[in-house]
Amino acid sequence: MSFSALGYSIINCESIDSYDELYFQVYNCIRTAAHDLLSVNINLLEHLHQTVPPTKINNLRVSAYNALNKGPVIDLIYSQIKSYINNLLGPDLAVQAKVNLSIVPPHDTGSTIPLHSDVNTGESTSQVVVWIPFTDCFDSNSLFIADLEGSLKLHESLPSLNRLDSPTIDQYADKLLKVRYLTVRRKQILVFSPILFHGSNTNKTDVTRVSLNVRFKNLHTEYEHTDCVGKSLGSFYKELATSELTKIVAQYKKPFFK
Amino acid sequence: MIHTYTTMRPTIAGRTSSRDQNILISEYVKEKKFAFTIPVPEMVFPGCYLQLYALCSRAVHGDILIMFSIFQLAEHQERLSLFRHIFTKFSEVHFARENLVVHSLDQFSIIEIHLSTL
Repeated sequence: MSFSALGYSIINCESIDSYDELYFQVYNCIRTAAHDLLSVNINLLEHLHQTVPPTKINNLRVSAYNALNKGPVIDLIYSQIKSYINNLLGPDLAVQAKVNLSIVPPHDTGSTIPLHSDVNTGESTSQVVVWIPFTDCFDSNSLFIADLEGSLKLHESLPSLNRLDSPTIDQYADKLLKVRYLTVRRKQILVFSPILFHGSNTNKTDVTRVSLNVRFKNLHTEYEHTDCVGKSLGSFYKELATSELTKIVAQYKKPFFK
Repeated sequence: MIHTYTTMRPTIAGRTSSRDQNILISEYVKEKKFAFTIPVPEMVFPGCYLQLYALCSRAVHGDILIMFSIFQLAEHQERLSLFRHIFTKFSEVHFARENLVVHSLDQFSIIEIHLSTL
């Protein structure tokens, strides 16, 4: 089914070389952080939990995230999805300035992200979330995502749930939302609309999940859903690509008549 | 278990980006020797506390709630009822920005005094 029908697509990466380079960079940043912070050597990313205790995961993640974002991570991601993203968003693109890194070890309750939709936390509706796993993602070590129709209905219903004596958003979802874990293999990429409700539960598999997520949008669409802090171009987003026409428009100065 | 809670809308005390709230909470839990958990951000809509209500529902008795700021509560029209609800599950409520801890419903007046300072 199409992106417009589902609100998401799982695509194969367009450049295996870029994927391999990105994997190498992610692995190296995590390996260096594990060595520097904890004096341990890691082997496979899937088995990270065997050498890094859950209490140290966030420190490791932050250190690896900082190192990763000093490199060409956005260019490497873009080259894996360029055709798909250009078809979806056009040639004028903005991208989240820093790529998020998730590390979700088995049975770690501190790494869960409850049901939410990014548009309710200030993100523009006119963007897509790009989610790239470096370990095979399945069952509870993956993202769960709600169907488009149910997500749209839940958005409409939110005001009626905003009372202490109303069902909570989780209770509503349990009854009325169709939610499923997505299977996304290495060298596949999930692209989804921020309108979809999604999240992650406690990873009950025996495999650590390592993934990146980053937001792309058309340069000329809105940046903030409502009065939200820090989601604008130049802070949260940066320019990634411009069309020939946009390059000309950027040079034009409107005459000023007194 | 520790639950952490931030806001995506400005409070009466001003605007703080999501990133800065997360950093402050991360430093706060480190200082207090709590385990870090990924903060749950409240939605942008004025007067919306949907994620806080869900957090209360998910928590088990004795859990600890760490909010970014006491001023996240300023918009709530029934704060006493909210606090009664919160203390049915949580044993402590921390406000990281103000470095303040409330241990019971009896200390509700502390919240009101702080909110009246702005």
